[in-house]
Amino acid sequence: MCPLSLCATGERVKVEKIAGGCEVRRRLEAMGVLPGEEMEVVSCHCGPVILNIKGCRLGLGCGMAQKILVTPVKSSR
Amino acid sequence: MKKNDVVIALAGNPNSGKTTIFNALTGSRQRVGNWPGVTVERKEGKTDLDGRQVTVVDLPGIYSLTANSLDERVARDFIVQDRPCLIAVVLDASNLERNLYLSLQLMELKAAPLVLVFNMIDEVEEKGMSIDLEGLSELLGIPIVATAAKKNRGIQQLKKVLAEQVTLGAAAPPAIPFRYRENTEFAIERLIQRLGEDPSLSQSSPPRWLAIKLLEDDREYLARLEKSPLRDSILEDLGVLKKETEKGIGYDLETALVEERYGFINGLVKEFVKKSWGLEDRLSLSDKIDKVLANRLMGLPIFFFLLWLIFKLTFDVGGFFVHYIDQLFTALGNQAAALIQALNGPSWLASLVEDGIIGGVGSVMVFVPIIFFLYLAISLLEESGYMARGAFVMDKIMHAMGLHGKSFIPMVVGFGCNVPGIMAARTLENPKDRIITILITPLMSCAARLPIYVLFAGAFFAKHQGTVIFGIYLLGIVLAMLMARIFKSVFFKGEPAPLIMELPPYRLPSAKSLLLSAWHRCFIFVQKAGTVIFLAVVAVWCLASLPLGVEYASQESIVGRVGSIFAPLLEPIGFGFWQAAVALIFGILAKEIVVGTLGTLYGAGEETLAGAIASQFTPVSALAFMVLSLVYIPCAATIGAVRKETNSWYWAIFTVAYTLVLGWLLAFLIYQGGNFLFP
Ligand SMILES: Nc1nc2c(ncn2[C@@H]2O[C@H](COP(=O)(O)OP(=O)(O)O)[C@@H](O)[C@H]2O)c(=O)[nH]1
Ligand SMILES: [Mg+2]
Repeated sequence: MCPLSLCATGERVKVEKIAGGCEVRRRLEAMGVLPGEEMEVVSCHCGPVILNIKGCRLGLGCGMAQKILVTPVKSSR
Repeated sequence: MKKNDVVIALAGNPNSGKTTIFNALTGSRQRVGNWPGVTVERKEGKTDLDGRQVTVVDLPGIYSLTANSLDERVARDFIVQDRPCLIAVVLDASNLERNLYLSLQLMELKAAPLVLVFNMIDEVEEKGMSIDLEGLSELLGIPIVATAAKKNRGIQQLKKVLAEQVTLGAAAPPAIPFRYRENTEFAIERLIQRLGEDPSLSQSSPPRWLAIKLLEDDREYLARLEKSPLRDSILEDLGVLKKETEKGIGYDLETALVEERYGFINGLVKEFVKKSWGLEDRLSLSDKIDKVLANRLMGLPIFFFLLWLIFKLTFDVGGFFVHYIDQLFTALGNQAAALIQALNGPSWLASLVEDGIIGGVGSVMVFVPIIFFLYLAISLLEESGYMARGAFVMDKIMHAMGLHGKSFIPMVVGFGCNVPGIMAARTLENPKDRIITILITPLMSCAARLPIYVLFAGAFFAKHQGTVIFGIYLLGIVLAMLMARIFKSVFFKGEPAPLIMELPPYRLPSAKSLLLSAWHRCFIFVQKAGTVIFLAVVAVWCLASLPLGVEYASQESIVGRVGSIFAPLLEPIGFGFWQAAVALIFGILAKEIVVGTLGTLYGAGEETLAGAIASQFTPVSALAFMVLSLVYIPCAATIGAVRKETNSWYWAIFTVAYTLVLGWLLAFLIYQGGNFLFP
């Protein structure tokens, strides 16, 4: 398990846990980022991250990306 | 909006096309753009459904019924409290997995009958997807209409369905075919029973919705319990129920509820949406563009490059026309004056027309081509999808400066006009971030200030006009960031909210929509020139001609005397003559008036105006004047917007005070420093 900010570009990951306040968590959940969900890291350079979740591109700031804990999953493609 | 009007609300995720549909239904021209957060307040319009006038309300986008920012609260409160007769939920049909979440919540809320509008159906087709609309509609028990609002497709059908639903009236919405898992349902049922014991609780929302929200720990709904006499015992039961259910599920209930909703939606999408391979092409093109534009290292230089490009375009292309329009106005002025003289009209009338109207309004109007191209470039930024990337790329720097990535958007919108820029700050979730952004947005050079720069830079730095003006724009950005840093550490300590922002796919805007949008904004500029600026200029002309018998625009006239009172304040910054003071004072009404006033007082179109200015200013004092015009006191409309959006006179007055002091100090530094360096 590692913070999203440490993932590599192109990696597929599964959300394990969202640390941080419940407001932020609700917000992410409404956009589809919730534990158990798989997503693709479209771009990540040790900081801001672009995710592909349910076909949408979601940009997360550095602080946010550090608070989402994920595990890599084997790419299905 | 009257009490028994039929009101249809447009709700949906940001950027799903609500405003485009609103415009198509009502014939309005509300702003559309390819980034989340274009619409920040509710807008009403009328449309005709089968001969019946109904009110349509366009709302800011929301992802769920839990509101985080002010614009989201506007939308949520309208749906929950104002109870529209019908909600048209607009969805980006190419992305149902996410868009259906809000629809599902609205079905659970049962605030009003729903119509689902599957917009962007053109993109669905392009991607080779197909959606079984009938099957889905039947299963959900809700009418579904497919539209491509941008291409005006499906709007008639939508009107027909809306008309049908409106005539049906408020039949009880159908039961939704969605159940949570067994132990969750058990908890919900138990809670509904308990809530039923206090009938006042279920007045404002259906008991099932209330129960679900309480199980989710939603603060706003928990607050409703406060007033109930049964509060303590219900809370106790709620705690027990939650604990038991969570034991059964294995993790926290709130997440489980969200997850189950998504589970249901996934099932729907699997069953009713057919995708074909290779459909991600479009998005991956977006990703490729993002590799460059949203790159950590390249992002910033590219932003400045784009900015520079905008100016290049604006000046090289727009500037080309200015010269001709100016000649036109000068000729017009001469002709009009000659005509009045030939007809033995009074000489004051000739002066009013030539000095006042042509000299004043004309000197502002000559900049219309430049402003048109500026708006065109800003529309391009807004429609292409770059705005959201800008917010994303700038987040880190903005953080360092005490701002938020999303502050970028109000700043760029502010280049067009500060007022919508200040409104755009509504999308910032954290009130502190929002107020700082509002306070610094007036430092963005708006289109109304551009004529001042063009006039002065043209008169003194003709060879480097573009560079000088670009420099002033950059100065505005730098000052905004520095001031934000200061405000942050003085008034608003604390962490900014983290950035979470959807990045919509890049879309190539059509030339037609760009031109229309630029034309529309330009039209407003011209309209302003014809009204506010016209009146101000006539006022200046009158005051410059009174008291009777005084030489026009001399120091003995009323404006001359008033200006002379303030002129000494401007002495240390290089332009201690009364004309400058008068222009700056009237400029507080609207920044275009600065040039308009100078034009009236020096009684000439732009070319001779430039000559008059060249004789009064030096290059250094001209620079000081430009910087002062950028910073000192924002225009009346902007001050009003600051007051309205911060809901306090305190911040409005503070903005006036700090910009005045900052502007004067900068002008002082430039003038004195410049004279010291280049004596
Ligand atoms: N391809 C396509 N684009 C659309 C359609 N409707 C709206 N858009 C674009 O989607 C973006 C967002 O539209 P807007 O009406 O501002 O969305 P809102 O945030 O929901 O009000 C704009 O760039 C529109 O031009 C459509 O039917 N098809
Ligand atoms: Mg909108």
